[in-house]
Amino acid sequence: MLLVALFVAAFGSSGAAMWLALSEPVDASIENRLQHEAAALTRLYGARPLDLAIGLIRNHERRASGFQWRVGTSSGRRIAGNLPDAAYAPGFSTVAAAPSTLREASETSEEAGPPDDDDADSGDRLRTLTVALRNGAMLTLGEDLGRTRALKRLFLRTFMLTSGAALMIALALALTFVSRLLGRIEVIASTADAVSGQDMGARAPLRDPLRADDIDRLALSVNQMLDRIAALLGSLRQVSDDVAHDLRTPLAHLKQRIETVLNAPPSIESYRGALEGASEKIDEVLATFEALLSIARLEAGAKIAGFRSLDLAEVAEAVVEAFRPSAEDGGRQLLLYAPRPMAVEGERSLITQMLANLVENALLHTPPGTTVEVHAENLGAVARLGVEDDGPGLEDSERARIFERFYRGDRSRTTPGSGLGLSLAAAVAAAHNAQIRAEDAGPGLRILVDFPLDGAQAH
Amino acid sequence: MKVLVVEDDVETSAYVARGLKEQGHGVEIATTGRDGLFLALDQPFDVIVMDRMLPGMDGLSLVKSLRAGGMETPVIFLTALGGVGERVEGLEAGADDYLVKPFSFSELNARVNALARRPPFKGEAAANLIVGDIDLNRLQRSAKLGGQPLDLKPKEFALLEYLMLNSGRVVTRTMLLEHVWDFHFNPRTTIVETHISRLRAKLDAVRETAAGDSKAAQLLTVRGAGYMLVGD
Repeated sequence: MLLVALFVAAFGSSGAAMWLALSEPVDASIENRLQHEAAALTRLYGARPLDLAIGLIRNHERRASGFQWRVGTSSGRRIAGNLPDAAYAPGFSTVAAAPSTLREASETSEEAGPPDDDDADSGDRLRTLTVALRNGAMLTLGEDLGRTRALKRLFLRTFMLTSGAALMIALALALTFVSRLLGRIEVIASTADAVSGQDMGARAPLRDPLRADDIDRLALSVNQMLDRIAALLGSLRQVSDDVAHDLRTPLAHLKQRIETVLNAPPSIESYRGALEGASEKIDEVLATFEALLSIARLEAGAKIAGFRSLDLAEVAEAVVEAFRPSAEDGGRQLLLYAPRPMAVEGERSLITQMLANLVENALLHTPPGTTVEVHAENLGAVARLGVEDDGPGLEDSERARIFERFYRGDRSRTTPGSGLGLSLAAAVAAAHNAQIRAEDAGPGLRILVDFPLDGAQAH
Repeated sequence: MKVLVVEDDVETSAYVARGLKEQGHGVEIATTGRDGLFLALDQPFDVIVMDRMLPGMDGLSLVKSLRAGGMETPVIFLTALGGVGERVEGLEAGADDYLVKPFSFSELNARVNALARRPPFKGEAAANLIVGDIDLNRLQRSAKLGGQPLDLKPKEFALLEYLMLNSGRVVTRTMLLEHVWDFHFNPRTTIVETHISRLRAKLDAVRETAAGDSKAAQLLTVRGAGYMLVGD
């Protein structure tokens, strides 16, 4: 609506400007023509005797110019001419036209059209110029204003017609353009509505990037935002599904066990067994819970108190020493290669737990006879902790996922564990700004943790 | 032994108090930090078991106040705040031990017993620890059984040392992990069990060659609780 009003105002004002610009010269040109005519008549015929001059003027006006005219005495009495009688003073004036004269002079017939303001206002009038002829007589020339009015009306009609058409076309174009624009925005809005509803997969349609405009960029931004949200939601859902599964399963077992005992005949022995089993199950749940909490704490970036300088070689030695007897009992070899002290900034117990998790992972998921080696090496730019085994290793697809929470490879399905050990290791590494990655040791698995050794951390 | 329990959760304090009383200890309960401070200053206690998050005055401030006042009664924090930083914070405030909820009573009991100031262990401050037929020299890092040298690896030595320092008292798997290995997490591998059985095997092997002794020290497994070295 505002747009329509704007269009009308624009055309109205340009029309008014044109009208003013046009009417001024039209009015002026009447006076010019009267002046020229009067000057020519007085020059050509003013010297002639009055009756001859009157004849010549009559003929001239009838044939050539078509002005109305009148010759009167200096006192104003009419001698000849078709202008109505009036008190013509020298110079320009405007007089009312005689009805007959109007009929004669008015070329444009208005019978069919409705009478308009212009008719009532300025119609039926004559613009006159009175000059003195040589011998005391006065010559008056008159031009019907109706003729210029017709011109103006023609102009006005043409202007209304063309500007009306232009207005219509412009409006139609504007409406089409705006409605297309609104339509495209509406598509984006309905995409958002769909996402707000249930369809997380809904995306705004994109056009050819070569023709992309602001709306396309908006759609692209909205889509990218939706992709990011979907990814975050996906991982959140994954975690909550996993939590539900990994915490619910042992809890379900616990409940089954208790109910079985409650339904059986009472016996101190079975009660005791059930309670011991229940306590173990709860420990399992708590361990999972604790690991999740630790990971969440580390990932939330909670500031870890007590980052101190520590020797990675010493940590490696302590972990290897702790696990070696168990490894040997299981028929595996646990080796250490940590030739030199290697200082990094960190939280000792977290790094110890990280390395312990990596070593346990290697010990628990390889067959007896496997050799597991822990190494701590200074590579200049990084201090590297590595745990490598010569076991069967992992498929590429499995290896890519081992740091995911609750991820358990096919082979490890049957071994005990929460599936959080390596995730926790990855979280500890991230908290220390260290890079953790898994490689194919051909055969076997190699996990490397590179601690940055920048100026502040080098000792 | 007299134990002060500062804990606002009624169920937990009742659980702890019942257990400690069954062990023959005297128990006082305070449910706010201020009450805890008042009781601790008013009566002598052997051990204070304290929650970290308390109404009125939190546990950290309470321990700091006690320590600032020169009171050296051992304090165990009992808390749901189990992060590494939080444990360090608690110990730096002046607590002697840190136990994360949920906990088993046997774990708490073992720690309370380990912390309680008993009549000074014979030669605790000295270099030599003697339990039954085991004689351990802390300075030389060597141990003998019935006069025969024991060939122990560093961690086996540390394990035996800790068991001897706490002889006659139950030490839990977690306590051993913390004190012997400095591990503040629960490994899935049977580290403690493996080391205990190796230590036992070495003790038994040496004892076979030594003369029979009625004073033979025994490394017992206390079901559901931990281990205990007894000398008599």
